[in-house]
Amino acid sequence: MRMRSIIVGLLGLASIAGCGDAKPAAPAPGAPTRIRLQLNWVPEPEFGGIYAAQFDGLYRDAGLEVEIIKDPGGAAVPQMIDQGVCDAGTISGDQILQLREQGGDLVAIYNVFDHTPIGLMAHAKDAPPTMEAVWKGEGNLSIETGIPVWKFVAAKYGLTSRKQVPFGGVTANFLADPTLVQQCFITSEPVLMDLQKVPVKVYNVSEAGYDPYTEVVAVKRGSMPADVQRKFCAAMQEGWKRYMADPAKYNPRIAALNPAMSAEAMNLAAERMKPLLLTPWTQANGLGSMDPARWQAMIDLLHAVNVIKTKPAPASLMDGMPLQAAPRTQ
Amino acid sequence: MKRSLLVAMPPLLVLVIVLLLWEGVVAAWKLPAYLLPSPSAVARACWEERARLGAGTLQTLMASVGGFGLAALIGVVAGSALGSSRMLQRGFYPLALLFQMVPLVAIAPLLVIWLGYGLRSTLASACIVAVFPVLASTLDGMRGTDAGLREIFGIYRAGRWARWWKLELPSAVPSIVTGCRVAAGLAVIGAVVGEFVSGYAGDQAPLGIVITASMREARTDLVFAAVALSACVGFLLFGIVSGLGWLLLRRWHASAVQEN
Repeated sequence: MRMRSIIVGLLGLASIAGCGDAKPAAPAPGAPTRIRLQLNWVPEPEFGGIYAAQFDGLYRDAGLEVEIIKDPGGAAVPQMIDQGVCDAGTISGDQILQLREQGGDLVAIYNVFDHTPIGLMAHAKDAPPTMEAVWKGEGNLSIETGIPVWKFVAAKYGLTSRKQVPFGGVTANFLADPTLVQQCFITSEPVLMDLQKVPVKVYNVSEAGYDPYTEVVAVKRGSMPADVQRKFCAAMQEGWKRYMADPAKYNPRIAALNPAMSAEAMNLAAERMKPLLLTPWTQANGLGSMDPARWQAMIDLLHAVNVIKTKPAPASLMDGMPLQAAPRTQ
Repeated sequence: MKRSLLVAMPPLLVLVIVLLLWEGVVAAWKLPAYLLPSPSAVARACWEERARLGAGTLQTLMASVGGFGLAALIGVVAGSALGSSRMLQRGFYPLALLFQMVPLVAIAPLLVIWLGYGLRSTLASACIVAVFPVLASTLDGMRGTDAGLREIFGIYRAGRWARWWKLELPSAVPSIVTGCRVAAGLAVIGAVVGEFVSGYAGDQAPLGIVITASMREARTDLVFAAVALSACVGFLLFGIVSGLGWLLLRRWHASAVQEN
């Protein structure tokens, strides 16, 4: 979802052409069911539970062979899922709605963050008090143009008075430019800044009234058999429980897959994820579960700002039934 | 008029056939719009987003022309300098070659840090990609100067400047024009790649930004429209360079005389 290498993304678009069979090949009797899970970013705590389930053999115990594929940079994950290049992928909920408008048909089967971790990060010195003040300030604004969240913010606060520049998913430009405000995952860039002793102020986008499901695991509708989906989601749910209980146990192994972020940074990030994952909703309904009312709110807001033209029923966008019935999370 | 039609007809005919086939394939296989939009959908996107695409094309054209102009200037000057001294050539040509091998995608983010966002970085990006063909063709053109003419200039004790201006540069012009034709297309590629990381978004966003934003929106029709317009910018630049080359060569060089 973040832009590190747009060219790879364009090549990704090219690579998905010609791969039309979304259904994974049926496994031989007794063999584990193979699932190719495409991430939309590099290994970081935002995928902690997914990796924890892998490290602890939870997928294997469920009869699944899950291959976790990290994003080489700018992969067009929604399109890849829809074309069957991968069996499942992590994307944002609003991407499901956007792709639907262009002929795709995905459903969310598991939700990671109950509250969005997307925000803006500014240098703490002279930082404006609110997101609106930041939006209407002076200097450069580094965001992913075209993603619904910023379209919503623009509709809410008006076009930004700042100069919009591309978002590369790195912090080098932020460090070099004291006036730069950049898009962030609250669990990622601000953590790196803290560890470098660079004071920052973070504004969560929910402050503007938009709190989408930012990271869901999605599949093409009807492509994954119900029992496989149930086992897959249950394993992820258990993985997330274990990860949130003891992230330090898993982070060194995740850090080994992503040398750009240390285990120390990952521990701090996991700590900041807690209020976004462990909410009253997930406490009551289970990690990974989704609220149809939240989907409806997202649909209504995106429709109001012309990001989508039609308003699908929330039930058509999520297939989280196995998790709605899951036992309560501790 | 008739001759122009004869020249234009074959590629136009091929283009029409390709577009019809493309439209047919999309309709027959019912391909989703995000995967492969039909030409009619791309044309519709072009029309509906004409203001955004028009502004973007203008921005990219400016960056491409500026980057190409810089590359042409630097390429001819540097190529001439290398061509005038074997020592310089031995010392700097391998470095220039190495510079050409550096992947632009890798250094484009650094350009932003060094030069800031906006036109300066985009110009630099276009220039970096386009400079080497001009430099190499200038050098080759100078090397190919007629030895007999060199000798005559020597007999008359022509100075270094006079030799370059009146002998070597004119001999190198056909080669420089060829290099500039190659550089014209490369400058557009360099500008668009530069825009990916350094272009300003908003109402006046260049085509590189339109492409990345449309990718995120799964608006492949707009991606195709912006890519097609980038190609048009390349064609335009190529046409201008070819036209200027023809004007320069038409009275004396065999290639232009034959065309006439």
